[in-house]
Amino acid sequence: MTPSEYLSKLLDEQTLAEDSTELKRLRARRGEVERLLRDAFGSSPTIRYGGSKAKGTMIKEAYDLDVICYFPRDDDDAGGSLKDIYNNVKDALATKYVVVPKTSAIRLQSQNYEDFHVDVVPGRFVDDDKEDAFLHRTTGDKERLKTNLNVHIEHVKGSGVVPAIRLSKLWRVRRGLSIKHFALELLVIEVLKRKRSSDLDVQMQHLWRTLRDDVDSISIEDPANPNGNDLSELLDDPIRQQLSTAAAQTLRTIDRDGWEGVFGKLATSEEAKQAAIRAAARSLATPLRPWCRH
Amino acid sequence: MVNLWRGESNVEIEAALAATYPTLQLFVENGKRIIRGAFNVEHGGQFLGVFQVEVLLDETDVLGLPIVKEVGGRIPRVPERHINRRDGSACLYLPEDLVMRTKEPFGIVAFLDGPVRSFFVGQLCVESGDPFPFGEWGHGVDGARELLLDLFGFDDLTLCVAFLDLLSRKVIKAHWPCPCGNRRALRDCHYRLVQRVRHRLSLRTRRFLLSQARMHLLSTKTEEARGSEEGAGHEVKIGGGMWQRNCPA
Repeated sequence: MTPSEYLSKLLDEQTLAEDSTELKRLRARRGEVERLLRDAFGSSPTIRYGGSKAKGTMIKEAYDLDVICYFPRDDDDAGGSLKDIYNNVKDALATKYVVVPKTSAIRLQSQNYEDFHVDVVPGRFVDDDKEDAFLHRTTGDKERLKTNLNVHIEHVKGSGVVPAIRLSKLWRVRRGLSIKHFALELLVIEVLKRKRSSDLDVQMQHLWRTLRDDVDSISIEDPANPNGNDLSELLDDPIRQQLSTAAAQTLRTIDRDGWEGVFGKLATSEEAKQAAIRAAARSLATPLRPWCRH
Repeated sequence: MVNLWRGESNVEIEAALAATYPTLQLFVENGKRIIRGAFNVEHGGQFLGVFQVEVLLDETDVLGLPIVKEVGGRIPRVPERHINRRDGSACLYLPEDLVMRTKEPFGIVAFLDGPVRSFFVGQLCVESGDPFPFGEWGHGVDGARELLLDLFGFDDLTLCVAFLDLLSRKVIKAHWPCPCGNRRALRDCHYRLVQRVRHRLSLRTRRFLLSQARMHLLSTKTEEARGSEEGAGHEVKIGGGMWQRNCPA
């Protein structure tokens, strides 16, 4: 199997089938969230999928569903300011979920703090075209940012490097890297803009070499607001350093152990994976029973 | 006092992580050291799962070992999954059990390879529909009782404390009264049991088990007292006399 074939099969493994348990659960959750928001705010907000689901970059290992909830420009029912909108949406969601405020989104967890993989992004449309929207920011200097969901979706979908973005996301989660998905997508598109026609393994090696050797030269900008939104904090020095170190280690691993050293052997089936988990349990050096203090 | 943590400098920890767990990184925040990142579970070259973790090196348990938290929201914070609801910390082991099994203090790699890996492999088993591969300890005091039952053949905490009290002495004489309370000399009663436990466990371990058993006994008595107070109502002193009032509150 060539490296490119291996990586394609790996991505197949990471694809959530439309009838998969995970996607069914996500859709059901999205329905619940929409009902909750409609009960609270009526028919005025536009509620739709954003994030990796809309961009086609979802992976099994780290699937998050962004649900955007944008209010019309002249609608004050959910709050006069963006901050009010954010807080009111948060309060509405908190009646049913544990809510975790993020920079512009609200993450939903069960009452047992289990992640539902759903982020709700409240905002307000800039005008009646319902394209550009303002989002509230809970961190940073600016209290709001301008965005455009369709531009983001088109930017990623039309980049020609969606498989490389998905692989990078898998790399990110397995490496525990702190770069945000959004910034990573933009970074991959930027670095690979002249490598669109290359094989996937060539693209990935080019990406990691750039991160290893030339990470400081990379700059990303928000395609929805190139001059307005400052993304520097999404790619600050510690994040660049972490990316560079991880990329160098990954390239060394490929040299030493090949691609399987980075992403592991391909799983033949769910049964085989379960058998491997059982084998891992049998091979534990310190087999311990978990306890609970309370 | 038992301390199973082998102190390592930050430089040593960083080097150990880079060599063995490159997906984990040491951070120092407000003077406290936290290891953060992805804990990957692999076996035979196959990737089985990843957990986002924090290992709090300066917040330790009764054994001096770091507190471990799963911070990715993959595991629900419920007792059945052995995650504390309050702070998300993982209950990797029963301290008494770990002390009994451990000969050398843990460095960071041994800790991650041992208790941490065991816990997350167990979580993967549960996610895939299997039970925890080596079973689970009962929650709270029940877990300690199970261990003492296995050790002594009985789980009466008061009796276990009496035996452990005896076993915590450097010298044990056969003519001393047996802790079981039947007024016979130890040699005519539970001498073989005492000798067996004494040979199996070090003095340090026996003393740790005693301190833990005392703590569990105390908490059990406190719970019982609270329960009986709630069940029997409370006493109200009026004019120097005592009378009892049933009060559901």
